[in-house]
Amino acid sequence: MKLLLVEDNRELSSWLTKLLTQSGYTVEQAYTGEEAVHFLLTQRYDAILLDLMLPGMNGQALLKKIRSMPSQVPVLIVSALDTLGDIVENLNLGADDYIAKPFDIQELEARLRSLLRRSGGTANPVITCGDLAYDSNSKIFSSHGKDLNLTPREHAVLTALIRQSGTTVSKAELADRLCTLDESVSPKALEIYIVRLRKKLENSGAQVVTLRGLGYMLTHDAAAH
Amino acid sequence: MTLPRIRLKAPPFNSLKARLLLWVIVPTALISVVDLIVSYGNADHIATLAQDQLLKGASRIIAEQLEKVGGSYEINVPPAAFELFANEYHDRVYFAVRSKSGLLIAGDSEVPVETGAMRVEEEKYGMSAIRGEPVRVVAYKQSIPSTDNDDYSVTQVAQTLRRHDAFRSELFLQTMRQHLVLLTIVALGLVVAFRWIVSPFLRFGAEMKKRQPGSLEKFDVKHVPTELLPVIAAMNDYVARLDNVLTSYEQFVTNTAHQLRTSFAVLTSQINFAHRDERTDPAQNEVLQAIRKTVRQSTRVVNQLLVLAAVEQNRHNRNRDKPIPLAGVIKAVMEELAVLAHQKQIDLGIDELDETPTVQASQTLLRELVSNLVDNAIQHIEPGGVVTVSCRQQGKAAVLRVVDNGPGIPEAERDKVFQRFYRLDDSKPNSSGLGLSIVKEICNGQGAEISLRSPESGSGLLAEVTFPVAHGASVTAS
Repeated sequence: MKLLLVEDNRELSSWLTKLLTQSGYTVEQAYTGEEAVHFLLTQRYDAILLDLMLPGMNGQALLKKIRSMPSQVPVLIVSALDTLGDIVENLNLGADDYIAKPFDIQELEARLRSLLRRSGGTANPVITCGDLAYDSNSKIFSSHGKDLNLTPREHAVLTALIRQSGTTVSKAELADRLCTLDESVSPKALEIYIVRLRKKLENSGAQVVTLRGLGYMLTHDAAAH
Repeated sequence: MTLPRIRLKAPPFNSLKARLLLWVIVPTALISVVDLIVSYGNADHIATLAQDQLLKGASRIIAEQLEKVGGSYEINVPPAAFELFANEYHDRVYFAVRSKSGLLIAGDSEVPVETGAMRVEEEKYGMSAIRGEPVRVVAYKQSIPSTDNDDYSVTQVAQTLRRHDAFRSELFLQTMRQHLVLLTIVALGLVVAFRWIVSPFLRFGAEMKKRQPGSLEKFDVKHVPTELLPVIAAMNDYVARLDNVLTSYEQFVTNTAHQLRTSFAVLTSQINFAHRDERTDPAQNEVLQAIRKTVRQSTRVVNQLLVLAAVEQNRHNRNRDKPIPLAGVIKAVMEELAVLAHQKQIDLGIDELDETPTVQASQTLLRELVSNLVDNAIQHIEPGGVVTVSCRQQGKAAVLRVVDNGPGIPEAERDKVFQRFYRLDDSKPNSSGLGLSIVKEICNGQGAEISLRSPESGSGLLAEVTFPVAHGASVTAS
């Protein structure tokens, strides 16, 4: 996997390059927008990591330029400005995801992986949450490369949760999913499935969190601030 | 907010009204006094002239009656001569006709003898006193015909000054009345004019007072009197300069935050690198984790300072606010904080989430407000605690409540916790002391009210924010 890192802070650029290289990526560093354009005209990349505050041509101008090119390379914004307004504005400009400085390398790599997977098209439609992965072709959940052993009901609940991971899914909606399998499901029964799922998800980095009154939410540890 | 009242420790004539009165009324009054003195003289003169006219008439009538038959004088004084003097003041009138040799031919001997040199057919007027009362005296020298050439008589008529004085007083009083009327008109006119002049200043002051703190709008110069224009122009210029200063201050805060975050990013990647290195021993790893935690906390403070700067910025850009559904914001915040609550084994939930209320606000700041309140509850509560959020429409207001069953805040401290960097409990290193001050400042900026109290269940804390509901928001029944 070949990445273009557009970051004007040379120190940060060099450390990120070291870390990403360790993880098996090939990284090229551009320190200015103009330099990045030059690289983009001559090279093909699998993803671009883009800092917004650049000397000369700024990140947003560069993003527009990238989006005017024929290639659909995914762009992950890495920025020190992260008001909600900035995020929305940049996603509208065509960025694929957004990560605020400072960040842990695990978080960056997780975002990068899902970005690369998404851009890989339907060939590898894997959804992840922490180390938990769901292959929507084979319908198999796995963690650390090992398949999870789930009952059909647990499977149905977890599928609903991972498809909307990071947001709450109401108990009613989950019960609805299970209804298609057999007769109605009591809230008590649903709670039991959740308890079992939690046991099976231990060590996967993913967890089912309860928000009383709202429902359940699948999330991962790195999402904590 | 009430301004401290500035009260009269001021130098005399510090009031514009007093100055205006001083410089108009005092000179006018001085002119009046001078004019009254002159008027008094004039009135006296006119009254004297009038009296003299009568005295002269009377003296002629009397004098004409004198005849010299042989060696003796004959005179028959007609009553008509004294009718001229009849008046309600009961003036006393005296007369005396004397011969050349000083012999009293007729009249009162009390009338003092005229001693001065006089020409024939000439009157001479003068003041004297008869029976202790001042009198005006006329002396008329008349030649007596058909005798030796230089024989003559002197006729004198004297009148007390009662009518003269009354006439003079009347004339003078009339002038005085005119002056008083004039002065009153001037004073009244001044008061009215002064109110009129001052009213634009008062309106300007009231407009200033009504302003939101931090508002940097310019003042309208329409309908402003010419003299006030320089003041308004100076104020607008000041506002523009202040705006510049604030903008550059905000830019400074943003740049600083960017620099700090970039430095933290470098530090984090260095820690990540060291952490990954297999040669790093467990003890060092522990240190690395501690450093990472510190970096996270510092990042949090930087972010909070950025939010405070954004609150300030929002104060003069409130027109960008949109009606935002409160329930949606609460849900997003709870999803964001769910993992943290889960890790701390805190039961986070809602008990009532009305979808109808909307709040006219900046989306970012509204989210920060809710987030800081919920986060504050999670931070100050022991594992196993319960945090419950609710939102509902109450009349025209939207009410947000965050209730926890933690230690609560003693009543005496409840106002202080809104101060920046104030910490209730120094042993809690996670708290920056900015969370609740951010909440308070966002509330102030949005016109919302926040109150802290004990929940009905007894222990813990109930934070309640009451928002004025967004204009134009339609309340739909669901």
